[in-house]
Amino acid sequence: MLATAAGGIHPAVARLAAHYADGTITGGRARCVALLHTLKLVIADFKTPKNTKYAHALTSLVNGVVQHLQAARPMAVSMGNAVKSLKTHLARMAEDASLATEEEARARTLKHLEYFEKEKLLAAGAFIAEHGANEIVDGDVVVTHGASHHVREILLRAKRDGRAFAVTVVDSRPNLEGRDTLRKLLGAGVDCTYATLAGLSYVLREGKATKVFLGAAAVLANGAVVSRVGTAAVAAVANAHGVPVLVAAETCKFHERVHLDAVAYNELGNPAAIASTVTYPAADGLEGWEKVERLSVLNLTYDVTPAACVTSVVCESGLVAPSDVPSFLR
Amino acid sequence: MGRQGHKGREASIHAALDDFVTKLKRKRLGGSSLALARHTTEVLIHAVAAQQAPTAEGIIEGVRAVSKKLVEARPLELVVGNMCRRVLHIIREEAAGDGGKASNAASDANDASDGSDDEDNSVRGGAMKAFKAEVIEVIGELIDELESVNAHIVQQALEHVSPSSVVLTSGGSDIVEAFLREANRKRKFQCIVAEGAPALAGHQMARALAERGVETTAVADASVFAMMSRTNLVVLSACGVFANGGILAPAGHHTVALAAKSHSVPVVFLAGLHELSPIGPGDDAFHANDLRSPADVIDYTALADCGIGRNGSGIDRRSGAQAEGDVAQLCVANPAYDYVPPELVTLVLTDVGGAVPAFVKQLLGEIYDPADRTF
Repeated sequence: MLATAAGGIHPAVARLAAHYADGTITGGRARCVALLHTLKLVIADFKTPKNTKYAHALTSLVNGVVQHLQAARPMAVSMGNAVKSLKTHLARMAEDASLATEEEARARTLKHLEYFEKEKLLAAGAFIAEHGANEIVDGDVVVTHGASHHVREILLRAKRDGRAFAVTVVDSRPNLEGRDTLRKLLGAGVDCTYATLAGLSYVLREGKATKVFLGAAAVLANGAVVSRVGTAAVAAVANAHGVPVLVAAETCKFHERVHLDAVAYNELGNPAAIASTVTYPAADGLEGWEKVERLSVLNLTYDVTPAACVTSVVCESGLVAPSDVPSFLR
Repeated sequence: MGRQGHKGREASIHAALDDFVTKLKRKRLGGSSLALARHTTEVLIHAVAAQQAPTAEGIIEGVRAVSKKLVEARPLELVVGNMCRRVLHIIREEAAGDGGKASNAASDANDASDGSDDEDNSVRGGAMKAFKAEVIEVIGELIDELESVNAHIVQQALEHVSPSSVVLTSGGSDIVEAFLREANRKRKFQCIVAEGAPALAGHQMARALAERGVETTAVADASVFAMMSRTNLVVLSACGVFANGGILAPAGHHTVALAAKSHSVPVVFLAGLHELSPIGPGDDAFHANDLRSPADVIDYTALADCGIGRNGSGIDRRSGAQAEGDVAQLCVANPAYDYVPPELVTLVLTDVGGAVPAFVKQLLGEIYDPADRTF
């Protein structure tokens, strides 16, 4: 706070905020990793002001950083959990009388962030890839939606393990993030099918899909999965076709909040992305939509997949039922 | 000389038929299902007029042969087969209705056939001519009926759209647009239009609705599940209605209907009687689909750097990429249709009123003859 009050936001934070805002860093995991790296830079440069305690002053500074980043884009659940963990560490440190010097406190704080990144993100990611890949058997046709870091790692791991399977990437406008997934999988030699949401029912039935793997932004206490918009539709249609749905999410994406639907709480994307039709230039119906009275364009970022549509959550502890998520929050 | 005229007429009907069949096969008959229904019926009028058979049964056989040809040209255009069945039903009804005059004339003629008497022939010819004229008149009424299908469906809008409700639809459809505009004349409600990728016809639809005074929100297809929690009614258009009450609909509608089901939102499909088909799960056409160009889904250049397409293998599974070893294959699916099972359909709204999926069979019994289910 002291630093921000003086208008001195750390350049690394300003840069990170810009990356969040323009979408160069997206995805709950990538955003969290970037946040931890930035916090490390901030903490390394932090000097305790006079007449304040290290832990207290740093907590205010972190609050300022969070505020700045929130303004660029609402924080992901994983980021919130990382910040919460840091603050808990600082509070504990404030009560620890044995801490002699500022250097010592800094080293311990950096070590804590290091621990969080290694354990909660990197190790967790590796475990998820392993647990997930173990679920894939020869002959599987795996359906996924958009781009999820974990799902991609699971599929690449299964390919490295020598499993013979094919992947169907279902994609949706406006972001068409599935194309990244498609590129990476094709590059790794995985046979793929690509379709839009309109072709979802067709590829599930005619493509004889055997499993659906999805990513998540958060898994809530009621087992509902918050994920990139379109995920809920994929899960629901997979359910109707009797295909099991697995959601890959590390436990630091678990959150005690509860959502009943995606409208009450969401993040709004730029409506211009919907109106833009570079993928199908012949459709120009929304050109200049702002000038049409009674016409609005809504670009939701997330949707909520009900727990009933999710077979298992793949986390670092293995496969758990969505109803078991609250027990991880204790 | 009469023979000459008959031959000429036959040649012209053959030419008209071939032209229609070619256009069907090449998907050159764009436009609405109603236009296609009208076109089919007009072709059938010519076919009936050209029939030279001495009996009603003979005419029916002749028209069935023409129907077979039309249906086989493009089995997925259910409307074509439906109109053939409607016309056949009319001929059968007329044959039964005029006290068997046509068949009497026929049996008389048969009795005297060995004699091939000129007088008998002309009596028979006259009766058949009158019979055909009657049939063609009734078929003309059928065409008139087609003209008012949309109006009759649209009229029912106020019965289903309640004030301050939220109605969701997907893609672009003239009949759905007309339906919602009619509802908007008296009711204030909100409309959500999913864009219907890859063709994005929903964009134009959203704009058209808004410009005509309907409070409209355009969303991506991916948002349908999320928006469903605020939706009171889903209105979609059907491409065909099967005998089991299931719907042949534009691709993507199955997902919309499932999202509605999981939120217990009623799903209404708008379909004219001409779209009701006696085809069911046992028939090939029931399982058919049409695959459109992958270029609409993903541009070739978007994947230029992915390692596929080496050795000229390209995007298609059928090309010999397998021999290449670790070169991955890509298949791009762009289906035209979805099958929506009857358990996801609350109501089929036809020009003769609403029908629950189970009632479709009843309606089929009223408009078709069971003998014409297949050709």
